[in-house]
Amino acid sequence: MSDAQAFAPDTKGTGSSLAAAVIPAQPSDAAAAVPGRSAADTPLLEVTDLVTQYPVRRTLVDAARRAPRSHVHAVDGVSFSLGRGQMMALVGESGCGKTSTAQTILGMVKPAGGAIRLNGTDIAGLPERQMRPLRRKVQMIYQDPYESLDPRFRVRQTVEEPMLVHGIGRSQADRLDLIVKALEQAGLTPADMYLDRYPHELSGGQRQRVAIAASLVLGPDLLLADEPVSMLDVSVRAGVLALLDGLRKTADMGILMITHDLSTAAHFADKIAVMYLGRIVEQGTASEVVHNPQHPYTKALLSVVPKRDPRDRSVPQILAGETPDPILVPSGCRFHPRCPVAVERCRTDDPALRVPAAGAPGHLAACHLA
Amino acid sequence: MTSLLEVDDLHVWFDLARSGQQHGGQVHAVQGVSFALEPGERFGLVGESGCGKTTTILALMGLLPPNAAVAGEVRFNGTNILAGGEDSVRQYRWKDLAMVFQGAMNALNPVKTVGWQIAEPMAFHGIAEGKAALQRAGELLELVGIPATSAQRYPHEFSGGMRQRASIAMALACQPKILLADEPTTALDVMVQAQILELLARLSDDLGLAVVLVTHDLAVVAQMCSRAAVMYAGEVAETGPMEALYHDPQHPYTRLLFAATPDLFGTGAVTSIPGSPPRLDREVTGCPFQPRCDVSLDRCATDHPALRQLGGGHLAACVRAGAASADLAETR
Repeated sequence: MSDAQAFAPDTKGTGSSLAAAVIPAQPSDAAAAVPGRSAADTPLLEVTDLVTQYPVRRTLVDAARRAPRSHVHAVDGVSFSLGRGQMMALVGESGCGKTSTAQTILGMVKPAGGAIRLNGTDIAGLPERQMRPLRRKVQMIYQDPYESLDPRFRVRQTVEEPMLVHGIGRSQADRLDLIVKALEQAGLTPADMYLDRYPHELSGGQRQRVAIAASLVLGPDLLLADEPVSMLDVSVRAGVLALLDGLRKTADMGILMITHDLSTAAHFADKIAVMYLGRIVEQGTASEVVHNPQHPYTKALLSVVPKRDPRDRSVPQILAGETPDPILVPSGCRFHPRCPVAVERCRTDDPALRVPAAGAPGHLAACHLA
Repeated sequence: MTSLLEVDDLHVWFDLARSGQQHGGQVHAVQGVSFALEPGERFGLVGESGCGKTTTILALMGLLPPNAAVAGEVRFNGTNILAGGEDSVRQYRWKDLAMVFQGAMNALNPVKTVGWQIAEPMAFHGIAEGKAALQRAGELLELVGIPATSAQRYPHEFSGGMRQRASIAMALACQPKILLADEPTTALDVMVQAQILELLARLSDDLGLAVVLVTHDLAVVAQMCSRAAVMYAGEVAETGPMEALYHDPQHPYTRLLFAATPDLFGTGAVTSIPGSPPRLDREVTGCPFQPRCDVSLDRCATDHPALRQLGGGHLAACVRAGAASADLAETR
């Protein structure tokens, strides 16, 4: 694997064809076959110390002064693992790095550091040639089904296209079978009714189901869902979420759901990770994080979620200001400037993610006071 | 006794032929909406997209497009402001009724300072001009929690939450009695949403401003408003005190909408409502919610239920409304 990383930087040149010759075509199978390490104890997805940075354009003056190039620290040391059949929610405000984390896992952005193991194989910085067969296994569902579907494609074309890209199905008839199966798996039954429709003839919920079907035809192991229901009407949201919930169980997939809605995460995910400024500040089982939050940021976030019951008007703990600039990350604990309980130590010491004193096993929080 | 604002049997039709659509026809977007508003009250207008929430409040402002036809009365302190068309509604718009549009925070002029944009309508309405208007723009910004010195800054220097505050300040420029807020927190993060909702609550408490909050988010209305109307297919399905809507819903749509809204500590299953709302370009026979209803009766397909008084200002448009909840559960 180290060979692959050695010439990862020149993927666009001739290096990629060379890489393809060295590395077996199906590295995931190879890893699973390692004796003594069965597929069962390798998590589907294991992210370790992931770092993603975007360079900031220097001004001419800064360039002339040779000022150091600054970076947006979108993801700054994120670690988590996700098993088959699990749903994990990545929660946080905009700009906290949720989407950048997903884009890095998907290979749309090259990580600046860390490892992303899919079925035990490190896919971080893998050349495009080797990434392509693996990409089938990681599929993304986007927020806005009004934008993610091509308005000139019928449903059958939308769902067929990924198969053509990945060379799946020997004949048109083969592929049609797979299209019908995927549509029905996504809850669009009978599939015949939808095959020849255009996106404008579908409701928002149906469109999102078509987008889900288009990722299911590839038989993915991991589904990344970026705010999958925030553009949909309240009355159909639960249906799409229940579909994802069912898929992870029946199709044995792992689902990483990105959301800003803690109520949704609490209802549908097994695990919740709360992100702030590129870091996971707290993670654990959904019920631990919601009922026994340990990080002051999680506590504040939970307190501002509006409750359905008008009698249950709790006093929201509103944090002043907004998330700071990810170019100039605060020293020490990155949450200290907005933290209601910060002490002197928080200004200088960056807290590590550890098991809090009052936490159950598997519960982690990055706070000195937890 | 007259209320501050009374909306009485409001109807809005859109003529599709005039808007350049090929097929023509008419969409009956708002079908007899009535509600009343007292000074300082916070009232919620809830429903799915396309149920007529936004059309209703645009009608109150007299801001519907030219292909719309309006019927019914909107009385401000007892005077029907729609009686004389644009000429009469113009006297009330912004001075008595103001609106924060959906996505207003993204509609600020990028090449003008925020202060200038807040001051501009003041001159138009003869409230203040020149330096005095800019001074007042600064005061309005202070009122919504932005330092007055920021009046000289441009919208791109503001964060999303600050831009939304600025658009609320703009709506308050002419000291209105009623603020119509269309999805004021939809594109914002939870923490910023909480900040904006706190601001709206404070404005209505301190200034006696009546607020109509239009949103699809029942939980936001539950926390903010004392009363609400749940709209479906252009009609009010149920209206009343928020407590009654949540603890004693009499219309199945209200009950199902709450069940479709996940709650942080809720333990019950979150369920979607099957089907989709009816098309409004043709006459709806029977109850508009009947095809999606889980407790409908035979006569629901033919009889159109009217809003019925259930006491305490609680009204519901369902043939079953008023039956004890236990009976409802049995027949389900």
